Amino acid sequence: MKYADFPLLGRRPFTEFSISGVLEPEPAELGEWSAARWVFERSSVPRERVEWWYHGASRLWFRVRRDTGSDVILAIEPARGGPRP
Amino acid sequence: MIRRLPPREGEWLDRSESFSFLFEGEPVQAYAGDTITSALAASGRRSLARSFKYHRARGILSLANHDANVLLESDAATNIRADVTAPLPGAHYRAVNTFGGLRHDAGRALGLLAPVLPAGFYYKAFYRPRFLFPWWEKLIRHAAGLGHLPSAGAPSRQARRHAWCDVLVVGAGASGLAAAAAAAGAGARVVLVDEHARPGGRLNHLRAHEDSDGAWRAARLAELAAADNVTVVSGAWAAAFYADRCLPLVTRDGILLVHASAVVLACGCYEQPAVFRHNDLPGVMLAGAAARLLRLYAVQPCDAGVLLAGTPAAYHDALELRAQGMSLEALVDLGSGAPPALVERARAAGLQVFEDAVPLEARSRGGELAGLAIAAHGGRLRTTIDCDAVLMAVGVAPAAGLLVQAGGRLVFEARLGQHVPAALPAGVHAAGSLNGVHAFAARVEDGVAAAHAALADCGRAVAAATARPARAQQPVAHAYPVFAHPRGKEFVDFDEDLTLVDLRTAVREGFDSVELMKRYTTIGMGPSQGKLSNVNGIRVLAELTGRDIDAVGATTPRPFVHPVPMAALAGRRLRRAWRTPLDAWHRAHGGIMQEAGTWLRPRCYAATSGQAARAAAVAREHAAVRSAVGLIDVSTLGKIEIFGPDAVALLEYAYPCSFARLAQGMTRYVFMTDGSGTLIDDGVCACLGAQHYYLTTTSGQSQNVVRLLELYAAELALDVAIVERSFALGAINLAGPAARAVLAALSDIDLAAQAFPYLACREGAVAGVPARVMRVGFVGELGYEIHLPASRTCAVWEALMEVGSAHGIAPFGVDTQRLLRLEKGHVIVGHDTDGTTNPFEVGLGRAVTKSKSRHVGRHALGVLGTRVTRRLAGFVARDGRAGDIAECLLVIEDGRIAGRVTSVGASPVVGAVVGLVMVEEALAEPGRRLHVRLVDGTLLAIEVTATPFYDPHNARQDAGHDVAASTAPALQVSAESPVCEAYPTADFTTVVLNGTRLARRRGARPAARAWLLDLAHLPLRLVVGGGASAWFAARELAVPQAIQSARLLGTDGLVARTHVDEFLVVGASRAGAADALARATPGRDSDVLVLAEERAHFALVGAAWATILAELCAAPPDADAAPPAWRALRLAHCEVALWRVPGALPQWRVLASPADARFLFDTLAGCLAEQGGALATADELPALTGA
Repeated sequence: MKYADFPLLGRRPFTEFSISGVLEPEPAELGEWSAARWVFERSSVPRERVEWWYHGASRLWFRVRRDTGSDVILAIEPARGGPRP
Repeated sequence: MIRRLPPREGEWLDRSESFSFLFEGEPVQAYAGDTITSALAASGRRSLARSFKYHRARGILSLANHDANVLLESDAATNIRADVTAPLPGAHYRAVNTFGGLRHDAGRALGLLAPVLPAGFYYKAFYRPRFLFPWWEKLIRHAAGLGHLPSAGAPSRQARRHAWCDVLVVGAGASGLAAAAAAAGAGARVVLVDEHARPGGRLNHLRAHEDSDGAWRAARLAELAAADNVTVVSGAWAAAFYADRCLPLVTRDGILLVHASAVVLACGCYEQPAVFRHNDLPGVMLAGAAARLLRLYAVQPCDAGVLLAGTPAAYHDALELRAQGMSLEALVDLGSGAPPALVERARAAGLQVFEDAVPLEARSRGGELAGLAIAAHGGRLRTTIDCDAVLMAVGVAPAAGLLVQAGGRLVFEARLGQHVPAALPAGVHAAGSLNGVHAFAARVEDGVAAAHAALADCGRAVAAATARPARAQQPVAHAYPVFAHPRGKEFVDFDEDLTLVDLRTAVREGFDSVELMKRYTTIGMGPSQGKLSNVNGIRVLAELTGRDIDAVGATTPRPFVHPVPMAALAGRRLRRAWRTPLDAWHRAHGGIMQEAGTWLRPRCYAATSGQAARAAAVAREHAAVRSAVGLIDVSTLGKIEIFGPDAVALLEYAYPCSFARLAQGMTRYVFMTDGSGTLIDDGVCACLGAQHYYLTTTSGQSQNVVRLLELYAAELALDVAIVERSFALGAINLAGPAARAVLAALSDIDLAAQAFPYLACREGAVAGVPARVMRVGFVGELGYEIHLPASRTCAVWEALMEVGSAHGIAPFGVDTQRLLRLEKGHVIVGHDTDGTTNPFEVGLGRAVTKSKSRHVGRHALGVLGTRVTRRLAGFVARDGRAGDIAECLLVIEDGRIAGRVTSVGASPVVGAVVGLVMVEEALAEPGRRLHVRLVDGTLLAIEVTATPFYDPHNARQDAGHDVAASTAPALQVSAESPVCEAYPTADFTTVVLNGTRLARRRGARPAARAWLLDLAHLPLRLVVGGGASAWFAARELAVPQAIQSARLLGTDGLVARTHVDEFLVVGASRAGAADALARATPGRDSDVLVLAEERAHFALVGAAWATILAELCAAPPDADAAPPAWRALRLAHCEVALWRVPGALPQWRVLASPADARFLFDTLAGCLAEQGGALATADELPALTGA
């Protein structure tokens, strides 16, 4: 069972989260990317990447920087609701 | 013959308690503390079971549960590990897998066939003809195998609990005890687990000259028992090593999932057998087994015993056993390398020593051991030693399964004859003989050093890193304790009846890698998981292929290192179902409930659940809606409030529809796609104010839509609050020509067609309850969808039923609703669509706006809209067999699949079977004949028709008469706790407290150690929006700054910041400022929204709840945090908020979704009863907590 220390939540099991991988908002323009490539092409090359994790009990999203080669979590930040300006 | 010895110091027996049980029909005497096997051995039995394949007689091998020789079954259980299981008085145990009992097992004949039954024989012999293989397979499975599941007895399930500690020590031998004591002494929270009934490991039965009086062991155990930071778990095994140092300890009562900051693996070694002809005869056992018999169970293992010595340590074992009174007569030295002085000591002690010897074969009389034939002195002497026991002391192999699962690496150290750890992951330390350290003093030193390293991992200061002692200098295992015989029967794997010939065959046929040999021969795949066979298998493979041990490698020891009972794996049954506020009403009125996703919903209302009764009920309910009025519980709809300056921006991004023309007080149909343009949800969006919207979603997608809206708000950094209301609000759809008349009698809303047109949304009171009402037309009649607080939904429903009775009102279920909307041609997303359907295929293309520059799915929809290849079309079938058309049947044209049926039903208004088909674009023209392939293969003609089938011009929305708004006085409707019905009526009645109906005790309160209380009467408010902080400031209250933190308010009230701009106020049980705040009037200001929140609210009173929470919640406990220690987490699969109330008694509070309330309450109450707790009611809270 895997655990990590989450800001705002404390130490939590991964089972409390739904993990959505790398997400990006839909761009207004796609540039040289075709729609099909934008929708379907994803890299699975082991690397450091920022994933989006959702905690259902608090309805909070987190950005989790994780190395998918070593499965080590490098940093976690809340997607909304960090310190208020 | 009784082999029990007089009472001995150190035995595990309690001689004051003796009893008998039956074994194979014969009575056997036992003492408390005996295992089944030890009692059988004490009664003089040596043959205790039959082997897996050849049905050979088997007896004691390790007596430590490292082998699976003695598996028994009783009337209540099977595959009982007799070596470590205490017999139950009066129980009847039988050997598993016999034909006609242990003694006369007809399966013995299979041994004669052994030459034609090599490993994998059935793949070679029975593969042709293929149709006969199942027959052979059944026969083989019947002949070979383990126990049968007893048919009697209830299925058992065990609790699975979490435990948290600093240092977990696996193994309570010398190094484990030393490690646990050292870690505990430094103040760490320690868990020490050992597989044997009592801690001590080898020190309990074979101390050699180390710790000879047991004083060291006794002192450590006393130390550990006195410390309150140590938990010793005996008779349990650590079954696996999972990520983040999580180890399941399988105890007799279930699995304890230990999460440790550091782990000390002091698992020790398994003593290994020698491989020689007939080494499986009853009487041939490991030296450790004989020592256990003698010292733990006071059983004389033999009258004349022979010990096979493979290492110098074996001499010490022999000397000790003889000194302890074992009738050990001879020692056969297999080339142990023992120094001459040691050999002389053995001789001086009276042992006959045969040097430089090999075992030829074990000889039998009556199927049991009678002698050992050996060749000694380099072959110059061949003799047979008469004996009734052969003790194998040829060496050990490390119990390294957990270490490898942890990510450690082993290398073979030839000098030692043992695999030792070469690399270990962070937070994992090996100690003792697993680490190649064998001498007593060194094992202790190694344990202490490992503990110090583990303490450093936990961030605890250690004076100085302790040096690890050197590994042993002499071999601890014989290099090759394998002695082939021309006539075979040298058993390598006792579980699977594998002999040398099977391994040779594997290699000869090319399966010469260790992983291939394992799969070909099944070596190590039996119930003992290769504990006693893997190392010998590797040695044989190395010998046969001419490689060294490291080059051969080892198989991967996956979880579990030891079999785990299914009851322990299953854990408690936690099957959550969401219940609507009307759940009890449905059940009381004949609702045929079915699961719809997580929800339970009524299909229809009928006296019985049979198909004919359901069809009649649907017809009746259908008629009521079409001709009078019906009502359906639509509380399952997702309900979301969107509030804030960026509310429109969020909706415009999330939905492909346009919100530009959505006026205040109006609704529109909306649907959602994902980035690939796939339709994932639909619903209604109402505009309630300039920056305030109310959304509904399909029943199954509410949580996903909230998740996506939160995602989009985060991605675009929008200033908007998304408030989940799906469970706090109930919803009722009132539909039919008389709907207006019924609603008008109860509501102060002006329902006149002009004042409240189709698709409008109004707020007002229904039966005195604040409600939001939307005019929708899903079922194709004049209809009102009434959204109102969950706790008063049932009361309003009952009021509608009463008022509607004059109009012929009828409740209708999901089956009826599906038929009604099908007649109207309305699509159900997720039913008529799947994970590949886009809006253009279901006729929603016109609602996909092209005017927006940016929304989810825009690029994909831009492409999909230009190439529609299939379409959802209506059809009518008038054939006699039309009733056989079912959903998911295929449309076949020209012999190929052209589409499928997505919905079908017999429509009373059309007078035929109607439905929807997803078919190729070219086939979707009205009037076209298509063919559906029925289940029996018949092709049935259907005709494509335009939809809707009913009321194509929406004239029914204007049905009914205009009526004036109600002038009747508002009803006094009290709220109802969602768990009122969960209290047994024998002991509890109900009472209205603060306007909420909940349970109240009838008689005196019983004594209990913990309590569960329903606090549904305490008010809750949500304060939402950018102005929330100011709202609190105006009430002179400083609010918590951090999201997901809370502050106590009054006696036991609370204010929590639950989201970016969302605060939850929980009223206190005593009137005061906190209570007043939680009763603030709901309403909307320009930048703040105050909502009456509804959640189930339970109090958990008493320390016993810590145990229950450790089972139901995987998050670490919050004992160190100051109250309230607010946390949103998952409890028994339900998403809840959990916090603590300070006071004399430990008290937790749980806030849960009303839909989960009953499941959660029942689950908590069930766990509580096991812990000696009881239910209590809200009015008892002060008395229980002493507040």
